[in-house]
Amino acid sequence: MRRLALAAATVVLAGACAGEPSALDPAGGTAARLADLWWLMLVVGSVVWVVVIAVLLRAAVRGRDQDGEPGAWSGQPLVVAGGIVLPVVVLVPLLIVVFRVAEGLSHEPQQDDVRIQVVGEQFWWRVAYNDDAAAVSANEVHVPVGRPVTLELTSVDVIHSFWVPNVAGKTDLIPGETTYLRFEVDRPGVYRGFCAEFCGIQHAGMRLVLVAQPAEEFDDHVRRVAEDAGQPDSLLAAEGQRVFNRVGCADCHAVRGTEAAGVAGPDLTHLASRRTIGAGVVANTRGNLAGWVVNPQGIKPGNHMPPQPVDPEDLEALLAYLEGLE
Amino acid sequence: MTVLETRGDELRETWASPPGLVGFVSAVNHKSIGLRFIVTAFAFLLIGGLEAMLIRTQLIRPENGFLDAEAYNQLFTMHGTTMMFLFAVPMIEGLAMYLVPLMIGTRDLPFPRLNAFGYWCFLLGGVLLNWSFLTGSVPDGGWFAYTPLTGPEYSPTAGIDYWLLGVTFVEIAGVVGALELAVLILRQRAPGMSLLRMPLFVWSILVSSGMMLVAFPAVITASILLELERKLGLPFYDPGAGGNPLLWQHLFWIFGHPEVYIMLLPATGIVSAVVAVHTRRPIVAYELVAAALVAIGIISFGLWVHHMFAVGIPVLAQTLFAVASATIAIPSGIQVFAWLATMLQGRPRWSTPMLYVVGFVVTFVAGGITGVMVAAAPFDWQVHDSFFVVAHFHYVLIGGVLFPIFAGLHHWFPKMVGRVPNEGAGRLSFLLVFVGFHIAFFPQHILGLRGMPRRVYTYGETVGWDGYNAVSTIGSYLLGLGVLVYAYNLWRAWRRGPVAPDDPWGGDGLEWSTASPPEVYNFRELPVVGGRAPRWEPAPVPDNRTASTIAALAAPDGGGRQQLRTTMVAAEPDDAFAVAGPTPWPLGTAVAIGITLVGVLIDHAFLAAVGAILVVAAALRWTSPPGGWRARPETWADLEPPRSRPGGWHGLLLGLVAVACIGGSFLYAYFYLFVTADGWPPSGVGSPGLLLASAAVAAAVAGSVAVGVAGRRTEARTPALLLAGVLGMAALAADALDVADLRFSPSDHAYGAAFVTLRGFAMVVTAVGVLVLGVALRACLRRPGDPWTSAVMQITRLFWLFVAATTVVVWSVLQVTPRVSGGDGGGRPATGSHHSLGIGGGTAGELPR
Repeated sequence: MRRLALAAATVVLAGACAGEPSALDPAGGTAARLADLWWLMLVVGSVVWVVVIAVLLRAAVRGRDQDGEPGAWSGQPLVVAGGIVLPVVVLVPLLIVVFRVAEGLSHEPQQDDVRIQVVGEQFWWRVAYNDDAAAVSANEVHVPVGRPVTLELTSVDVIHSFWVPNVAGKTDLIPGETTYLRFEVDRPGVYRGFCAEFCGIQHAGMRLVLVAQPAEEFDDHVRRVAEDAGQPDSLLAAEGQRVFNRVGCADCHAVRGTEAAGVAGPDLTHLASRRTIGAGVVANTRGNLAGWVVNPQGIKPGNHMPPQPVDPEDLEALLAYLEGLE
Repeated sequence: MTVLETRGDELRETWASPPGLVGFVSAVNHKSIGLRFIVTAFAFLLIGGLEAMLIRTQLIRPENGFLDAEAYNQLFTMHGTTMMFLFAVPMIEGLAMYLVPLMIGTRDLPFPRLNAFGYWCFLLGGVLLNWSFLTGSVPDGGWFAYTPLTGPEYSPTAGIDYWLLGVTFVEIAGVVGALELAVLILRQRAPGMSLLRMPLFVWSILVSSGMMLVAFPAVITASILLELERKLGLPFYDPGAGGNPLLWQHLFWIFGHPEVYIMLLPATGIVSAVVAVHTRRPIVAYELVAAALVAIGIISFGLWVHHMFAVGIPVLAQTLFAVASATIAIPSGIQVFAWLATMLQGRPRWSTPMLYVVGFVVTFVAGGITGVMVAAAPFDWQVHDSFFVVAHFHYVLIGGVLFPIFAGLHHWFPKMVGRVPNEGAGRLSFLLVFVGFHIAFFPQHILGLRGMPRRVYTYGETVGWDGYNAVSTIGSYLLGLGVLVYAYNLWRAWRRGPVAPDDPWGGDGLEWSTASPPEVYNFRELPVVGGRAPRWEPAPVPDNRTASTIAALAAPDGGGRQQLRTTMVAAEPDDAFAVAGPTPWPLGTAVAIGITLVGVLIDHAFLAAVGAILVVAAALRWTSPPGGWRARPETWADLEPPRSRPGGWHGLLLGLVAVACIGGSFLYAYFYLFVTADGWPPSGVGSPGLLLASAAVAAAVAGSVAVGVAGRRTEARTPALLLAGVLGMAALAADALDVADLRFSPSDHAYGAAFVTLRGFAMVVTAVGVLVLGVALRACLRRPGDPWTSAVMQITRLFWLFVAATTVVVWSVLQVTPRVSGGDGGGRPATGSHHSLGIGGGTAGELPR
């Protein structure tokens, strides 16, 4: 079944280049089981649909070529067969399969799981590893391949929903509660994720990146995330740090190891090593970064970061500083 | 001039609406009001469709700049809201109001003024919602309006207030229409039309009316709570103060899932009617289909959680809801195969209505199958809130509801308007609508599986969604064009279509035995029914009693708008009653409610208070005995006296079911928060005071007993009613003193908010009870011997039983729960809210609830 399903998936998804999200291109066992369930239901559902349409066509054709009154056929047996027997015969086994899949994918976290905390905020994701207040990042979730992962999800404002289609189903992030999403990824790669619960004006711009990597690389990454920022490596960057603290960046953003300790926005300690800015909206390039700093409302209208009127020299220094935050 | 013609003139005079503007605003006839519902709902269909075109245009390519995020969010909110609340439900209610009296062989609805009131509420509510476009504060929280996004903190502008007040206004129309239709169907069927001889369309309306009475109160309550949070800071949904944002989702989907079937069941009723007439065969397995309708109505209330599979509910519970959801496939399958078997038996005529029915079967079955898929909880974790779900429910709602509505409008148009729409144009519209629909929505399944979430105003270029979206948008334009062709066809037929015969299709039901369009009184002589397809069977010979009743009703003889009331199951003649004629007071009452809501909307307490007073004044004016009203005319002297309760009693009973569901939803909210909050009541707040609260309940119960005495003993009626009034006011006074002296503020914690709201609900019920006493007293003093007064007394007793029950239940809940939870820090122990590291999430050893 699985093999067949994957083959069919490949056909359907032909032309889907790497990095395009899809629930039918599973990156691990969790998503694969959901994809298998889909293919099973698609086959069963298509058969049922074809049966109904065949009867409908028969009725249409019969109506044309028969002239006289139809015989004494009551029609009731067809109603019982199609309306009661058919659904029961189809649904009972299907529901048993659904039961088993659900059981196998329970979201209850286990002791040995890798634990990652994700907090939804309008319109970005705060990420922390192993409950470590130091290992804080944003909008990019790294997970090890081959090990079960439990995301501990909550929100500080409205309801969001965490969804990386290639990896697992979605779970809502609810203020005042903690919910869990448990999954396993087998194939290393970079997968796109989305906020799936409407959360306000920039719901569409609340995206993320999930990076699945071998266990050692993952451990390295977590270690690096927990480290403080290094010293600026040039005069320009050092000037940039002063700009950062002067123009108000530090009111909202933290750069651990410096005096910048704002908590309203994403932690920027390792900004330069992240793949995107604006919660997955644009690639983390120098041009995008400059555009974002000066006018984030142009890139992601309605997000909570105000425009920063920085003059060109200061911007140059600021970019040098930010690009050094690896 | 023959006798029949004379009777026709007399009936016409009795039932006609006055001419001109006055006549327009005071019309109450079911056909006028039904047509207004239909035309207004169609206009909203075009508005909602235009919104859909704008949405699709924005999504035609990635990073499109056609709409900004704000406009897009407003448009998808208004699109869903308009299609659900302003098109589908009112359109179905309009069709039912127009057609059901004709189908069951009666002259008008049981409460025509209430019906007109419902229309004005719908119209004003719809205008209020769309007025927001002129002010710029357009609702933008989605048609589901999830908290806390729609709460005061994250949606500070008036958009959400427009939504809450407008939708609630429209829901009033839904509730009163449902009550009206249920009483109509249960008490006014033609003699001989027992329950199992009712047309299936009438069955579907009966079931869906019952569902509306139970479902709409949940969303009305949810909206009231949210509006209280927004305007007065009562924190029902605020997790920081004991509230819970998921409470909204439960209440909303307790309404929202049945809502789908409230629209779908009447649509299947239309399909049954069209299939029977256009294959010239009665529907196969009638009893099974009727049972399926009832089964769907009941099962649909057990499915709401399948909209919440992603909120972290335990997997076992999810699976149970998945099983319950799948079982609905059985009654749906019965209906589909009953239509197919009927088509196999007969010779389908491929008219426009039948084409739309075929399009319905093809599309709805596919939507049902994807429905089973999304009900499978694990799969739903993937596709929930993705475009897969958008595709699924448009298959169900366009394929399952819009196609049948288009079939039905074309089918009954000759009857309603007296003109025949063009078949060629009708078929062209079907082709465009059907093909356009599938081009628009089939690709959205794939988009959802490929990760496209719902409600996104834009998407990136590299994400692989552009092709499917472009195709989908082009399909939506075709669909829109098809709808315009359909609308133009009907418009043109209305203006200058060929004149329709009385029965253009060779129909089976009583509606086809009236003129096209029907006379204002529908039937000169009320029909008598001997089977399920009265027009295809020989007419039965009525017994003497029935015949004399019918003869008496055919001659109004100055006795006003008389109607025949029959028994609930067997439809035997029971009593005659007269309904009120044209009056502008329904409009007056609706306008007064509108003034109140606008006052709330613009934070103008004075305006709101004036509106509320006007509502009471208009309602009192409305409930005075209708002019020209006369109970059983002299010609009826030889008929037996009625065997059952007056229709108004049944109307009130159903109305109280709806009000009880509102109260029940308040209780649900109270208990939901009781279970989920940390501490109930919160620490520092003791148990509520016992003395004044108990005194208030005792007074209300004593008042109810006094009303009971007034009902049983005519000679003591006036003093007993006065005593009850005094007791009712004493109860209100004790309540007011008690609430004024609370030791907590309702805005500090959800406990106080829920406490005050429940008390407030009981007080409002009691206060209305006092007003009802006033109406009863007026009747007793002015018309002591009149049967109208005895009907009012029965109604008053029923209402006061409800007052007593409400106050006792509220008192018990509010007194007992704080004491069993141990006062301070009771309720659920704190879990899942450790924000140990300032970033949320639990500690390592903690397991989820």
